[in-house]
Amino acid sequence: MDNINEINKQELQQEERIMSYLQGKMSNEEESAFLDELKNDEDFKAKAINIARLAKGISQVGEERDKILREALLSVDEATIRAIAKDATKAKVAVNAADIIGSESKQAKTKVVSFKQKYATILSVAASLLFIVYFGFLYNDYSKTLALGDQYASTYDTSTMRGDEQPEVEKEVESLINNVYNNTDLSASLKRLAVLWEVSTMETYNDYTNYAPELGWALATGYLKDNNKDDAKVVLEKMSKLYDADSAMGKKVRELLEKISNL
Amino acid sequence: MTIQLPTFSERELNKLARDEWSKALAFLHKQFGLSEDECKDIFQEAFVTLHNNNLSGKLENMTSSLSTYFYGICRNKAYEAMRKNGKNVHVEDEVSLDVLNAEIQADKIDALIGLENESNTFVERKEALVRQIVRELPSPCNELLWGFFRDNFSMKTLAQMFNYNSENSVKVTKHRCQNKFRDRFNELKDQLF
Repeated sequence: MDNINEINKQELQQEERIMSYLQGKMSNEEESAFLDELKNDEDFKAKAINIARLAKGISQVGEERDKILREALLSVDEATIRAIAKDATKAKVAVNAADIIGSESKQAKTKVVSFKQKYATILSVAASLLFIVYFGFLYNDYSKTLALGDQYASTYDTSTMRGDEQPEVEKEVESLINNVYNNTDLSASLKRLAVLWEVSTMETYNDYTNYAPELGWALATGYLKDNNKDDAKVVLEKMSKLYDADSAMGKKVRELLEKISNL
Repeated sequence: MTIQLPTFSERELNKLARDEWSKALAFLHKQFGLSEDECKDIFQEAFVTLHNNNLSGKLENMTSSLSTYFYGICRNKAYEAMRKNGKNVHVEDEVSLDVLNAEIQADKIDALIGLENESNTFVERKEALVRQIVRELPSPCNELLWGFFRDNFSMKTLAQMFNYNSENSVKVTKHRCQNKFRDRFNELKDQLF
């Protein structure tokens, strides 16, 4: 990996100059010379734009992720944090010479692995046949789950929202619900909805408390659209405890839970 | 028997902790020569400090990424541990630690992207496409590009964190990852626009 050849060297130097510009390390003279060069060299310009575009995308997604994590940090107590940190450090990670030496002994075991490969080949053929049968079943289940998500997501009408105290909060909630309904940016919307759902159902009254039913419903139906029955059930079960069987939301929640169970 | 499923927040934090632990262990071990047990203690305490600082609002005006902030805590805890063990640590050493690059400036990014002279709508659509690609970067590009562009870690730090032989190895891999990103972007752009 260390063999930086001549072509790469020139490219790497160009990248370093682009980074130097982006980090504001150039003097005024260097900066104008750099920008002039970009105007006259289409290839160099394309490289600079590519790096800038990547940096911007990572920054935008990073801010979004950090926001989710900070909200997640707020919603758990110190004991949970300690348990999470302790659990993570149980994972074995290779960092030192002993681990590298360990990897050499792995190579010595290659023969045994190759011997086992014969059996693996026979098993893989059998597994492929099973997969074909199982996939048919899964696909059927998948399409039914998505259809259920589509059907129930459309039962919520955002025009019925309050339109009062918190226009910004309401705007965000409405936009997330619409994203689920329209299948737009589903993955990011579900992440955000999951955080807001938790916040809205916290004991302390907050900006999202009043939107708990809308958030829970959008999250559950969104999970279904994402073919994630398990998480949809977790949300709906929590909702069934919050909303009485007689209430409109309570009825819908129970109805959907039953349909998922029958899938 | 009732099984308590982790909440969404717990799942996200579990993932954060696991991702950060592998990096922190490599970094603390190589940078400070600490044992695995010492690294574990530092990591766990740093995670609790991150939680408490967030609760007390100290992260409100954070300019760095959460990961970089977390490494700042780890680094301080490592110095505390070394001092407790009677190892000499000078303040200058803390300042000269080669952990971070200078931060990338948003106005410079926009100036370069602006060289394409495209309408706002088109720029926004391209940005959405980039975000989609960035969310799905495969390893090792995922770790390296995020570590470099988001967390501003230096080549040396990235080499330590991800067990590369040298800074040059990181540079070459990062270069290849940027090219892969470019190819993926162009491929999707041609399909979509």
